[in-house]
Amino acid sequence: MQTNQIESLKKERTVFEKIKGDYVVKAFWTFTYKSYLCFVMEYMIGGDFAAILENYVCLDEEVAKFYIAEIILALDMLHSLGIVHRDLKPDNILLDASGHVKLTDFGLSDAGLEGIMRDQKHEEGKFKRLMTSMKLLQIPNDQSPDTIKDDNKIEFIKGGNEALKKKKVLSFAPTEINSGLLKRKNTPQAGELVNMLNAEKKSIETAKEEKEKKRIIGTPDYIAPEIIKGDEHGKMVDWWSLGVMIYEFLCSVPPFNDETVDQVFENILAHRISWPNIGTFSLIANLF
Amino acid sequence: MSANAQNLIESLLNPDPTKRLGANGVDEIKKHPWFDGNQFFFQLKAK
Repeated sequence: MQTNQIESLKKERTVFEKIKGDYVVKAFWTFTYKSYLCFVMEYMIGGDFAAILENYVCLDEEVAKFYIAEIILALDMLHSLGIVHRDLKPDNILLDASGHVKLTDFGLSDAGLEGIMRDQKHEEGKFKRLMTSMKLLQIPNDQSPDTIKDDNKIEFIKGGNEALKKKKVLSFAPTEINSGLLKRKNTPQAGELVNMLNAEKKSIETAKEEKEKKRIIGTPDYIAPEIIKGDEHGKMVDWWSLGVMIYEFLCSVPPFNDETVDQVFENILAHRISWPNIGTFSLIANLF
Repeated sequence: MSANAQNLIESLLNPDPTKRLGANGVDEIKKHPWFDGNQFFFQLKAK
């Protein structure tokens, strides 16, 4: 293992210590596997909001309001620690066993813009999604969380992703496992281990199914215009993404959604939002 | 979609980050009418 990786590990651990709280998915352990640095994360039995939206199509306003409010509190907590999520989307918002919201993939790992772009181009969104439960360490990100400016950092991410593409991805996807398979033990750590092992078995088949199931993989729908333009950006990008998500929660499709990635970018930059027919949509929403 | 929801979304989707809702702190989001002027968050705290 290289010295800079160890350094990164230490830095990321510091971030995890900083943000340990009620609104983020906790990391229990880190370990190495071949050339990977892995994070064992808290098991979020409720799954993510991308899956929830798939099942329920859209949410009633009162239901959406509760989750959106919890997301706001979570983001505010991250921001108050100087951390910008930058990759907020339904996939990164999970529900724990008590039904409360927790964020994951928060400005660590490849959550930066480079990672998102890569996903669109290479349809590797499924990989990002699996990262929800297993993080591969790439970026020391607690130094300048507000901006992606450090060229070395971006190079580092690129390098990391290239390497990942070539190798078989070791993946855990606990959010995809049938809850019946697992029972939470009294000792959370024992439970986590079981989750991990089961997840590993399941991951290959679920990854395949997942790819077909997912609407658009690695969608750029949630990216704020200032990121696309390459302007300096900070925590306001998270509030933009929140706006996109409220729309999606209520209307089932994100506002700038389109057939191609380029069209989505165009829609964002042109600020082309198609508002639903107010009467019709609340009627549909009531049906669910 | 309610008018309040649409207004909140429009305020958050302001292309100018300095004018976007939240630019002056999270409270301006929490106090938006969609959340019944912050009332909603008081209830959440009880969780």
